[in-house]
Amino acid sequence: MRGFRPQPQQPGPDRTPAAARAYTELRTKILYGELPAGTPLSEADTATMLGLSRTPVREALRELLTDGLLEEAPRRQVVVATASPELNREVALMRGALERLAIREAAENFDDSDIDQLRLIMIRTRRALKAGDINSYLDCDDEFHLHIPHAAGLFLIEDALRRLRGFTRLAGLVTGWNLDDFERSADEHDAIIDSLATHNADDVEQILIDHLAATRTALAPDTH
Amino acid sequence: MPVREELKVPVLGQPLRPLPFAPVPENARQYAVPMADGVRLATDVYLPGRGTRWPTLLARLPYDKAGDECFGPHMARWFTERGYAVVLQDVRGKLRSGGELAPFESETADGYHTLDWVSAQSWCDGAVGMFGDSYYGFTQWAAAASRHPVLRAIAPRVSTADFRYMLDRQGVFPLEVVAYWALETWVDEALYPYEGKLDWTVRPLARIVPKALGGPEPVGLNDWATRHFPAAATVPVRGDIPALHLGGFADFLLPGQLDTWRRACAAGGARQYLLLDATDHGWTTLRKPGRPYRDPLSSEATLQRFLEGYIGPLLPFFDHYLRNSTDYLTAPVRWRLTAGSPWQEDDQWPPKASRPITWTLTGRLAGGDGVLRLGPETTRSSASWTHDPADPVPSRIHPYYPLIEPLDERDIHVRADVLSFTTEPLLRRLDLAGPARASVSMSSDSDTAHLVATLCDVRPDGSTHRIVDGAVHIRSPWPARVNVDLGDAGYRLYPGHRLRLTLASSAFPRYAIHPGTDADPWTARQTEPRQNSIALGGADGAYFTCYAINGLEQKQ
Repeated sequence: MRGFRPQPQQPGPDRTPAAARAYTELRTKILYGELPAGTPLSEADTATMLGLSRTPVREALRELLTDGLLEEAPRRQVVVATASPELNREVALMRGALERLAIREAAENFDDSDIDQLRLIMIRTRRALKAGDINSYLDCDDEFHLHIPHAAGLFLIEDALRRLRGFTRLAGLVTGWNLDDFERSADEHDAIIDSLATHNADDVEQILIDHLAATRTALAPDTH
Repeated sequence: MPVREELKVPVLGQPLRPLPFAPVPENARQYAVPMADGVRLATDVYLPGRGTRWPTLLARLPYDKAGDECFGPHMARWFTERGYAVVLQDVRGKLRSGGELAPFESETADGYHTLDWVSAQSWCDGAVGMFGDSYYGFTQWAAAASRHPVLRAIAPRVSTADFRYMLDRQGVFPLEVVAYWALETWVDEALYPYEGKLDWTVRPLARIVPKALGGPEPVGLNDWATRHFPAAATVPVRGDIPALHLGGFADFLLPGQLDTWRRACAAGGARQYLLLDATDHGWTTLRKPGRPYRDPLSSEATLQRFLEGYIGPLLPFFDHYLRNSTDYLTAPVRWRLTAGSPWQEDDQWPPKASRPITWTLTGRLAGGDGVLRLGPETTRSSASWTHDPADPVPSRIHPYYPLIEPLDERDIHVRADVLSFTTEPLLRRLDLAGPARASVSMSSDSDTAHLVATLCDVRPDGSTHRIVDGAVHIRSPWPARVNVDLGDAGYRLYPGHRLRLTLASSAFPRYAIHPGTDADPWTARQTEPRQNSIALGGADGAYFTCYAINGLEQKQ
């Protein structure tokens, strides 16, 4: 029983294709730090872990290799990837370029609902922060940055950014996060929203540039 | 401060943690509507396919605006297909909305600001109605109390403007329903995963819900259980706004609903319509024994049929009061005792044809053979029982939805600590329709005591169906004369069936247990068995009165 009505009857069988399910579950486990860098993922063990057959798991592992969240290791092993400083630098460059494009489009095209959806993400962001729930916070952070190209109708940018943000999450797992940075980052998100609401592309682009620079500094203080 | 060490590392193979709420449907436009203090509330807008401005229906709820549980997206589709814009909002502190959890506290102000926002939208034609059940019936009365002029009509169902009716039965705490409500509503579901099950063996009672949550306490529960009711749980009832009051005879909130309806009628200024159906808090309809329950969501056809019965009656009401497109020549009171039968019409409740019938409680009692008899009993006697707080009388009836799986309680009625009084088999049909009260002179060897009265239908095969119940906290000096208020009954008894009233000092976990000591039932750890008794026969004997139509002649 939940709340005001009984639980609706059991939902039917999960119709998500098994490969997509395997991909989503593995990606989340990697981003949540449940499968740390270097963890070997064999087809057989992974299939057992997820309760799926080997064919969809093989497909999911291949896709995660393409994403860069997995990498090849000696003895034909596939392991959770370790993000190198060189790669992180390139991720930062690409994110900067793509997100600047997206936010300019957003500033021109966003309506009230598009902007309010960012505000709704920030409500959940603040709640996750208050609870110290880092993974929920980072999920919200991803959602915020991906909503901008999504609502602007820039689906190629959204797709590329989703992959790039996977690398950012991996990097964070290695360096650790700082709660003060989270607070600062959330404040910057609020500033981006307020600026988007004025529809001034130059202003909001500058706020975004500063936000990305601050995040980069927080993530990689030694290589700055 | 590095927090890497705090990352949770669950066991591999666990399923992904599901989002605590449903995804918002693609056809909803999402907004973050600002309230007076800057807090923003998550709000979905559904617009009809054709047209540019529409009358608007609003519901403000704490149970997930986009979830299946309350049919939000389904109702939105149903109403938009009939020319209404629909606005669904998560209340403050809940789900996707900002602010702190604060049951009751800000619903009047938040209702006002939401109505203000709605009326300023280009798609709103300036007429707004509100609809919804239970707590989101309460948010309608709260919004009405704000006197925002754009609100033209409301349709609260299984609800009340005075939520003390949920939190209290004559001094007894309705533990089961409020504990579930607090557990499932007034906690941040994103933070406290729980299984939704409560361990009723935990003592003191105050620890039951925190234990299920792994420590945290729901907002409000401790105050409510110790009779500190927030002032905001009671909002002033307006009579000058048309309201369609939809109630269920098997709904635990019906006493509160009728009280609110009476207040609205007494306040005057606008038509009040009362509709009472053979349904429970979830609008489950009463079925004949043996007929299976069908979940409204089990198929698209079942859902559409359910929606016709559930929100169908709202359409002519709103068509009249929001768009003036039709007359609304509906009787002030409509009621029926069996699902799907034609509505009985009246201009009052209880119905004009309904008369109080009084039965006297008599007879030997151990083993459940007390008698409910028409007319007085001159022989005086008494009946006593041991109230053992460590072995309370169990309650089996579901606190919210007794009609999904109505359960037989005959084995409970023969316990030594339950007094059971039953009529002879009825020769003719008897329609209960109106207030039910048990009047009892009670004594105890404790300073205070509980008395729980339950009214049942006993079928020819001996199985029972609970109709209504009530509980009262009684204080010495003894003997103390009390009226147990069982609320209003609406129930058809068929020939061959018998009516049964049971009296006991507990029904657990439905009601908090009297500990047998002076301690508060909520925090008591020690308990003591107590002897309770009632007088039977004579001037101070016990009797039971219920309004009913035909079937019986009252003997004098």
